[in-house]
Order: sequence, then structure tokens, then C-alpha cells
Amino acid sequence: MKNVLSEIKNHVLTGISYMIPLVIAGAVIMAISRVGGSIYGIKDIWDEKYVHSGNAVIQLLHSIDGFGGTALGLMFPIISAFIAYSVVDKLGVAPGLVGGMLVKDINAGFLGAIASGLIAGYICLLIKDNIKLPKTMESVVPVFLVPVLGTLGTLLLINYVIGVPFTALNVGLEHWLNGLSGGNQIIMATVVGAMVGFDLGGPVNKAAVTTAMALLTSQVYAPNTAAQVAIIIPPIGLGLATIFAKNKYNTELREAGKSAIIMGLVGVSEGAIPFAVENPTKVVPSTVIGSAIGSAMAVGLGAVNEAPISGFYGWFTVQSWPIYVISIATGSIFVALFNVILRSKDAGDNDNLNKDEEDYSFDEAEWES
Amino acid sequence: MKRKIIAITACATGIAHTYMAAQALKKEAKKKGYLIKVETQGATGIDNALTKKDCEIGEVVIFAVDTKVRDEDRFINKKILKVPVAAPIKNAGKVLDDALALVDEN
Repeated sequence: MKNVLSEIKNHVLTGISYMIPLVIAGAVIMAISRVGGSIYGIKDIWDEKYVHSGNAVIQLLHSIDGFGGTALGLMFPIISAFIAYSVVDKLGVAPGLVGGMLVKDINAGFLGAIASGLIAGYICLLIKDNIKLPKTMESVVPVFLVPVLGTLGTLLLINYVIGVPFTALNVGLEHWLNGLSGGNQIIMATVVGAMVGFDLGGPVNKAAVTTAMALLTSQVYAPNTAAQVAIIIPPIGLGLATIFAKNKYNTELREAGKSAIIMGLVGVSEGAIPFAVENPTKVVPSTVIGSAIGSAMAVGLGAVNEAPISGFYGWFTVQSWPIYVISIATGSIFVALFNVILRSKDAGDNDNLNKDEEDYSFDEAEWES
Repeated sequence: MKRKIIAITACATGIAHTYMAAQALKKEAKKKGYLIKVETQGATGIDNALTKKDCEIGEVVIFAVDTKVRDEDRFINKKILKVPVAAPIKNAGKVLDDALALVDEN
């Protein structure tokens, strides 16, 4: 059972890895158009009436918003297709794509798209492994039976079995998130922040971040705001810790601290990993709490990030961006102080100089001998 | 003769874990006196691709991956140790030992 679950996790992460560039492209393109619109005082740049706007720039911004939408519209087909691809290779792509498209049409949401990919993948696998034809007819399976039966089966299952509950779940989730009042919204943000800070780019983090990104398409922004704040707090905070308490970190970690700050500023949690690996019992609680604090603060005080960008270049498109930046700073400083205070003094040895420049190449002849 | 290992690393985003795992494996292999070739399947594509010859030479294959391995059929008939991409970052020595134990069993 555990094996099946970890296999499914791998399939889902594969799908997510192919979907992420699409979400980034779509949402950032959309954010560009919205920021552009706000310069003209327009809050609904996606409205049809701007197609015929007298101002060419406004017309262009309206089109750009549409381009972003086109990209985001592919999100569910792509995650579904590549989950299926992960299960049965090439055979899964067609049924997965079509299943994802149906999920989008019936509004079954991100979870529906994940289910669609798994259904498509496993149906195709089932057909491939169980239908045995005589040798001369073997090629009928991949070129005809799997595409037709796999796609049809996937669509039927989505439409008549999982469609209704998943659509209800998705719509319910949107209503619930949109209806959250101040206090509950802060709790939601705290949970998202804690998840993001927990494994720094690992599966729990990705689950929170991608769900938050997927909700952007439903105009639900608070989870995304929480996630984007939480992403960059751990690397920046730990980087600051190496600056505040130079003597407590060895040369290797001080170098890692510098690159962590840079990675944090461009929105990559993984910069914090060397620290989490070296001392998990102190670092992980600090990043969980620090990210949660930052997220709760940003959402609670009314910052709204409509784009899935956590790097500094996205900060100024955020509504109430000073609050947003202060929230990031608060979370980061918490992480830094937590580590500086709890870290024992003897940890700063210097015997690891130049370790990074070690040469791992080896003699090809020896390899081939 | 030195032990020879081949490995593939891949993570969901493909920008950090993938390369850190590769680095950790190489570092530990060097320390233990093994030869290792690591292919990274990251966001920008495949680096240090394992050739057909490499696949024949490697005694055992390590997949340190959170996602699907591309071109998996290269390793047909090979002993494969599959671990999460975080495993070698945490303890590369154990991953290498476990992999070699796979071939030493019989």
C-alpha cells in the first residue's frame, strides 16, 4: 500500500513539474496586463468592452490578459496528461489531455485534474497489460485500442462518476475560501505558510503551492498570497542568520547563506535546504513558524498577490505591497533570530575551506576498464 | 577494480534538489573510492546523459527521483535502487551502500 501511494505521489509530482511553467507564464502575463490596466485606473481589464477601446494600449492590455488566460486554460489538460504519461508513458498523453479538458469544462478543479490524470494513466495501463492479441495484430493495441478505449473510458468515468463530487468539492472550496472572514482567513494563511515552510520545495510544499496557484484561476487570491510570502522566508531568514552570527557557521554554510539570500530573493525555497539537512531539529521548526507568521501577517493585514511569483520582481504588483514586504521581513527576521539564538556556538569550524571546488571528474579509461 | 555506479536525479521543480542530490552522490562516492556517473533530469533538460555504454558499465542504477525517469528503458535488466530525491542529500553513504548491496546479494 505504501508503495502504491509513493508511486502515485511520483506521478502527481511529475504532472505538477510539467504544469508549473504554464502557470507561471499564464499568471505573470495576466498580472502584467492587470498592472498595466491599473495605471489607467482600470480594474476589470478582462471585460469585453475594452476590445474596442479608443486607446491602443488598453486594447493591447486587454488582449494580453486573454493570452494569459489561454495559457492558464491549458493547466488542467497538461497536468492530467503528464500524470498519465508518468503512469504509462506516451500512451497516456492523449486520454490525459482530453480528460483534463473535460475537467476544465465541468469545473471539477485541480483535484479533478489530478484524478483525471490517474484515471487515464491506469485505464491505459490496464488495457495495455490485459488485452492480448495474436502476434500479427499486436500493434492494434497501442495505435487503436488504447487511444480509443482509454480516452472514452476516462471521459465516461470523469463525467459520470467523479465529475459531480469533484465539481461540488471544487465549487464548495472556492465558496468557502472566498467566504472566509478575517480570523478564519488568517488561520488558513497560517496553515498554508506552515506547509510551505515545512519541507522547503518538497512534496508538502508543492501540494500547498500548486493548490494555491490553481485557485488563482478561480479568482481566489489569499492562499496564493500566503504561499508566495512563505516561499521566500526560509532562505532569506537562514541567509540572514549566517550574517548575524558569522562565528556560529562554518565557511561552507556561510557560502550557502549568501546563495540562500539570492535564491530567496528570486523565489526559490530550496536555498534553505543545506541548513535543514545540517540541523533539521532546529531549522525546520524555525522555517515552519517563520513562514506561518509571515503568511498570516500578509493576509491578515490585507496584502493581495494575484500572481504566482514570490521573487522580488513581483513584490510591486502586489496590492498593499509595503505590508507584503514587511511581512516577509518579519518572518525572515524571526527565522534568523530563532536560529542565531538556538544554534550552539561550537558549530562554526573552518576546516571545510574550498570544499565546493572539489573535482568530481574521473578517468574515462578507468570507467571503461 | 573500483565499484561502478550510475545514477539519475530528478525533482518536481528541477532546479535545486536534482543538482544537490547529484552533488551529494558524487561527493560520497569519491570519499568511498567508487566511480559514479550521475545524469540530472532538471528543468532545463537532461545533463550528463548516460550513454548506452555507461548503462552497460554501471553495476547498479540509483534513481534518486520524485518524478518519472525519462528514457527508463535504457536500464532494462539492471538492478535499480529507487529512492526519493531527498535521500542522498540526507545520507548519500546509505544510498550508495544500499545500491551496492542490491548487486552483492547474489
